[in-house]
Amino acid sequence: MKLRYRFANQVVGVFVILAVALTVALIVLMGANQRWFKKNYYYHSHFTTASDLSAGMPITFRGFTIGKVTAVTLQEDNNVDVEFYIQEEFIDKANEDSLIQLVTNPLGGGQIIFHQGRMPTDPPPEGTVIPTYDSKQGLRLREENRTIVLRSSDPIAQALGQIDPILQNVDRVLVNLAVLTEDLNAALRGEASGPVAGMLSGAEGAVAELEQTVVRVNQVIDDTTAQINSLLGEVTEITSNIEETTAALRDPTGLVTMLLDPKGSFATLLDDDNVLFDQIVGIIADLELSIQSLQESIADVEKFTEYLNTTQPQLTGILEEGRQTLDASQDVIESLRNNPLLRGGIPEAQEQPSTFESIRDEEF
Amino acid sequence: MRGAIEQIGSATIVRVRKLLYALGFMVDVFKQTFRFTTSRRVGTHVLTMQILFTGVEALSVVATISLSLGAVIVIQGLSLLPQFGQGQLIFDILIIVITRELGPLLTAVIVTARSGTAISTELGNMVISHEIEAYTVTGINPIRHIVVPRFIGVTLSTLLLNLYFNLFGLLGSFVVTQFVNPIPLREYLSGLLASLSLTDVVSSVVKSIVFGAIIALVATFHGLQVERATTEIPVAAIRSVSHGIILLIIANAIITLIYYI
Repeated sequence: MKLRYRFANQVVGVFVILAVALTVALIVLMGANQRWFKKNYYYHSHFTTASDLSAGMPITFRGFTIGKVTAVTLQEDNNVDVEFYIQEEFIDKANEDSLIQLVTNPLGGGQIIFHQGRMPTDPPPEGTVIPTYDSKQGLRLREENRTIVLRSSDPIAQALGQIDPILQNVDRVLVNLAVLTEDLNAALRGEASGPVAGMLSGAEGAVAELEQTVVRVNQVIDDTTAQINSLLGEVTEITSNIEETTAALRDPTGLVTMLLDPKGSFATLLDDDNVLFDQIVGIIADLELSIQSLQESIADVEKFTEYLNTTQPQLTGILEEGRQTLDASQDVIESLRNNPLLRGGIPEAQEQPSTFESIRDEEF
Repeated sequence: MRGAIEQIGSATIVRVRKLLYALGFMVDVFKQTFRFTTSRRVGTHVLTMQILFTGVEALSVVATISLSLGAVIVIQGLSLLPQFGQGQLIFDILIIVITRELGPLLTAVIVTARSGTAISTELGNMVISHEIEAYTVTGINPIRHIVVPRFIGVTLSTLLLNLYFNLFGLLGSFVVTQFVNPIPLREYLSGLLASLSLTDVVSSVVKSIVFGAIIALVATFHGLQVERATTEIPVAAIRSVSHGIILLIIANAIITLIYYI
């Protein structure tokens, strides 16, 4: 028989007792670790909203968890009541000027930070309200420097803590803007009777008058613009003339410059007792005579040309006949020269080959 | 058409009768269990032997599985969670997996596989060898003398094995942690005990008791369902395991649901 069967009762007894003992030990350790047998001091705080608040949330002081939130409830006055406890071993950290602050972090949730009062006093009575950081009482305690306010160790929470007041101010401004916009809308609809509405109605009349004035001014501007345009056309012509004159003046070889030159032709012409002028007049008279004779010659040439034009076909025929006659007489003279009776006959005519040969004439 | 309806009707009636029979069997077992506790003379040796077979002899299997499971959770958790700055969650995961969910269920599955089949086979053999009839003839209630000690023994064994499973799983993972990410025992225990709540312990205990009762009831019921042929015995054992595991999973889901509600 196996040993364990022989001592079955003992084996089973040890098996049971060991399991029970270990379980009891585990539960005792768990109780000690979770402070089942220690006293907690319960307090309350009031928040405006339960966002980021939850039961079981730790309450920390200088990074140590000194308590936990046990309940979050909405009260009749719409305040959010948070019940929390502070552990017995940390109760001496709580005094009458203490505050609690909700610090939220979108990445890692939130936590409640406990700020200790500056003056050492007895802990507040259990069940009393410990003000929150943002409440009026909390603000007063901070302004009077009666609370030691520690920064959160969470950098994101710190950043959010700094941004939060700015966001609150922005929120207030936006709310005021919204109210103002609503008032303006109501005034524009004519539903309001305040000073803003009066100002807006006055502004409306002024705008209507301004529109009429603008129309009149536009008409005047149109008329004036037409007149100015015509003047501008004239001015443009004058300007072009001035430009041409200026260009002529700028040209050193130009007629105007030469004429206006103090040593130029005009000065000479005016200072030589009409000698040059007389010569010029004489030259002009000679030129006129030459031109007249030239005109006569040209008229004769024209007449001759007309005659030639009329006799051109006849001349052409005569010239052709003459050429043929010359060819025939050349042959006669040549035949006579080569007459065999006279000199051995007429030689055969040698064809003169063309110097130009096409590719097709080449031998291959 | 009419024949089909008749078949469905007769099958339903048979099923309901079986269910009612099983419920009657369960009520009788409970009733006899209360009587068993008041008269300790009867079947104490059977109870002791049942705890020995089901509990003590299964301890090595349970310890091995528990240690392995704890090691796997620690290794996987410590390789992943610190990357998100959530290394502390390893204790919550250990408790959820070992204490709340897998501990009771795996223990119950081990007990079903080992002892459920054994009980079904044993009772089936007793029926075939007319031992049950002999008990009845001699005026001894077979439920009280045969089923109840096994019922109590399996239930207690499952509960105790579950406790051991938790101890080995939670503390054994500490040993593994020393190889992966060494931390002092005190710090480990502090983190573990801070995450472990009494509700977790109670949930685990309740589950293991319910699972033990289910295993014992199903195994004894199917064992006593054997009538005359030895070929019925393995069938009863298989049914004991399959029905047992299905009921265990359903019961686990219901208890978990109640826990979260």
